[in-house]
This record gives sequence, structure tokens and C-alpha cells, in this order.
Amino acid sequence: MSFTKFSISEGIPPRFIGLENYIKTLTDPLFLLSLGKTISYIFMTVPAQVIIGFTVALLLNQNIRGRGFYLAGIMLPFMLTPAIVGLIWKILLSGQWGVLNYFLSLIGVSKIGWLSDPSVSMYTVAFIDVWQHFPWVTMILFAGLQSIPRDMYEAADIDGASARQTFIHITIPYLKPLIVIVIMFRLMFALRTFDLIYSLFRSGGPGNSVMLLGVHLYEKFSLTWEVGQTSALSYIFLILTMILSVGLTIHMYKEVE
Amino acid sequence: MNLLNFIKKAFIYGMLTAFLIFAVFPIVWVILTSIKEPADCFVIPPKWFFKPTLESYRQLFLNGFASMGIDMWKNFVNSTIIAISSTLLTMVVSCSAAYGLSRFSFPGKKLIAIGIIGTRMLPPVATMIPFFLLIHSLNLLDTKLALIMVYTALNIPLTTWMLRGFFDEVPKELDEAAMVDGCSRKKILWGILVPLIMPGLVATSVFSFLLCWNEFSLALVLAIRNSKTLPLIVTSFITDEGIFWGPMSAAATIILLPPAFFVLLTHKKMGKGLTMGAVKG
Repeated sequence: MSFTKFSISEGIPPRFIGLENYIKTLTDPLFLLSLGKTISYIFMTVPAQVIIGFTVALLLNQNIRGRGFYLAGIMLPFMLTPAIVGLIWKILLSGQWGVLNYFLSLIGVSKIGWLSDPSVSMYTVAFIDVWQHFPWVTMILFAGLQSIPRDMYEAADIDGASARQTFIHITIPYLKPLIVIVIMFRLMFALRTFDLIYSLFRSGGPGNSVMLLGVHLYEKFSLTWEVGQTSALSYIFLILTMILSVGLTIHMYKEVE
Repeated sequence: MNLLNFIKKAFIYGMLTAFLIFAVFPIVWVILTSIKEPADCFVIPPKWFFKPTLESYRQLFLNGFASMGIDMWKNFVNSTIIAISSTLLTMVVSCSAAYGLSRFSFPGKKLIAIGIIGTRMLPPVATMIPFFLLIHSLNLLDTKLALIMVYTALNIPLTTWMLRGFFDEVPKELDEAAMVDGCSRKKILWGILVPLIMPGLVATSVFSFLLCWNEFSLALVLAIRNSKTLPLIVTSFITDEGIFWGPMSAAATIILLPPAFFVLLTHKKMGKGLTMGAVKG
């Protein structure tokens, strides 16, 4: 379908036009814009999520009381649908009445248009995404930490290893496969971000400042009904995802072997 | 030394509590907003003490916002029916599939295992068009059945993946013992193994339920009016006459309660299930 001219709104049957759709898509300035936005979005969210998530997992892994309570509380954001997350933050961040701006005004910061200012909205969205998804990283890595056999640590303790040595030589190697998987999954999910932005802005945000690939794809489909061209875009999207996930697939294949 | 220990403990608890507040505060705030008088929702400075009222909920359900295409009851019923039936279907299929993957060895097994997780890598936005055209040609646009089918198809891989981890934990000898006693494969699966992995099964079904309950992008193109699900309505509260903050937060609360409830119920098993799948490959 991606090689045909096919538009639902015009009601004409698909017609083969070769690679034209791909060329059109790849040279579309809006596509290039959204590609750039997506890449910077990924660089903003994924490292932050992994670092915060891992920190929390390590904290939880200490000998503490009320672990289940903390874990359940911290996991909450991850279980919500991004559409609702968008709604929640819309309520919190609203420029005039938002409670966050109120807290900031208490410490003397003037009002910030979190969602309406094109130069800020990208960071806002990235922040919300970190908020929502660091719990997932925590959950996976915490389960990983729990599965490290206790006697490894005991042995290290007897041999007089310092806390740092234990961390570098036992914890990290044990968790390495999980960390790789977590990063890969986060990359893929960051690439497909769509509902959060749609529920916040219903478009690419002020001045297209958060026009990510997913949003671009949806707009293209719902505004033009150009199935042919949108399919081409979908395929490009898919190929990008695959490039990102090749590492993961190879890694998993090795594990299975 | 004792003091040092104390400081360390205090630091850990302090950090954890900070993260907990960071994670939970926005959710709690929205729930609080939904039980305030609509007029008080956005008073600055915020009112911390107030008389709870269900006014926003009354507006949401009774006034109905029908002109804006919001029919809370209908959307609520839609969401519930779709999520529950899709979860049931998913579980029946993926139990059998996971059992097969866990117990038998056959050529191409590894490939299937990888293919299963591969389908999850597909960005849902990219599947929008194929699903739209498929459902359109089946004349099922805007029906619950369409969403049930699509969600079931999308969730089976992931649940199979999770369940397989739980099945792998049950020793194979149990199957063999049952078989010696003359049990059929079917009976082993549904009569012995499924009850044994019940906690895992519950966690997996909850996960599948939440995926359906929360799904957004596909519902956006496949449901037009009659089969609209709850997440779809969230953007409809912003109109030309202003934003209905009270009902909006009430709606948000209703949508987020089931996930929150289920998390508290099953969070331990769920983490385990997801990780086992990931580690075992």
C-alpha cells in the first residue's frame, strides 16, 4: 500500500506509483522536523528515566521497612494511561491556576507557561514522560536486584570488599542484561510517544514544538486520509524502531541460545 | 558507628519518601480537585481544607455533557465490557500457548518466542492504518467487537510471554506424575497447572486488563461514537466556553481508580512476571 497513490477521501482505487510516497515523505520538512524533535526527546527522557529508576531501585533494595508500600506508591504513575497523565498534568500545570506555578510563586519564581510557551513545552513533556516511566525502570531493576543471590554479597563481605567494589563487581554485572533490555524498551517506547502529547495539545503543541513522529503520523492520517503516503510514513517509522531494537533482538537471541 | 548508621537510614528513607511524593502527588491532587466545589478548584492559594462534595461527579454523570459527545455511562460500560471480554479471550488463548512453549520442544520454538515479543515492538501508531482498513473492510468500524478483537490480538503475545515464565517455575515432574495417573494434557493444564500458577495468572490478567483499559491511539481511530472508551473523552472537556476543570478531574479520577486499585493488589507478582520473561528470553 505504501507504494500506491491511495486516498480515502478522494475515493479512487489504489494506483501504483513506486517510491514516490517515500521520497515525498522523506523530503517533507515537517517529517524532518519531527524526526529531529523525536531524537532530542529520546535523549532527554531515556537517560533520566534509567538513572532515576535505577537509583530508586537501589534505595528500595536496602534493608528497609514498608518496602511494599513504597514500591506500590512509586509504581502508580506507570499504570496510568498516557492520556490521563496528560490530563493530570494539564490540571497541575495550567498557567493561571496551576498548583505548580503557585508553589513556584511562593519561592519567588514568576509564572511559567509550561504548556503554552514553545520554548518550554518540550521540556515539560519530557519531564512528564520521565515522571510516568521511571517507575517501570524501578520495577524491573528492583526485581532484578532481588534475584541476585544473597551469598554473593556474603562472600564479598568476608573477602573484605568495600560497598563500592561490591556494587561494581557484583551488582552491575548481574544486572547488565536487564539494564540493556530496559534501555532498549525505553528507546522504543519513547519513539512511539503519541497519546501523551495528543491529550495535552491535540496537535504538535505550540508552534509544533513537540511534533514527534507519532503525532506527525496521526495528523497526516486524520487530516489528509492519504493512506498511501501515511503507509510510507508508517514503514519509515517501523524501520526506525527496528534499527533501535536490533540490539535487543540480537541480545535476546543470544540469551535463548 | 551507630550515628553513621542512623544518618544512612534517614537518608534512604528521606530519598524514598521524596520519590514517593514525586510519584503520587499529582494523582492525589487530581483526586482532591475532583471532590472540591467546582468554584474552588483553582483558587489561589489552593484550599487545603475544604468540605468534600460530589458536585463535579453529579455534573459529569447527570448533565452528561452530551452535546460534547461525552456520555460517561456509555463510555464507562464500553470500557468495562471491552477490557473484560478481551482479557478473558486473551487468557484462554495465551494459557494454552504459554503451556506449549514451556513444556514442549519443537523446531522453530526459539523463533516463535522471539517473534512473540517482536510483535510488541510495533509502534501502535504505525498499526493504526492497517487496523483501520481491516476493520473498515469487515464493516466493524465503531463497534465494540472490533476493539475487543484488536486488543486481544495485541495482548496475547505479551501475556503468553509472562505466563510462560510462571509455567516454567512449575517442575515438569508434576506433569509426568499426573500423566502416569492417566491425566490428559488438557486436564493437566486446566486442572493442575492453572490453579498452581493462580497468583501469576491473576497478575497477568490484571496487566492485560489495564492494557485494554488504557489503550488510546487505536481506539481513537476505530471508535467514532458508539464504542468510545473512557480514555478518549479526556480531550473533550476543553471547549470554546472554557475548560470544565471539575468534571474533567472527576473523569480522570474515575479512569485512574481501577489501575491504582489493581496496582496495590498485585504489584509484587507483576514485577516478577515481567522480569522473568525478560531474563529468560
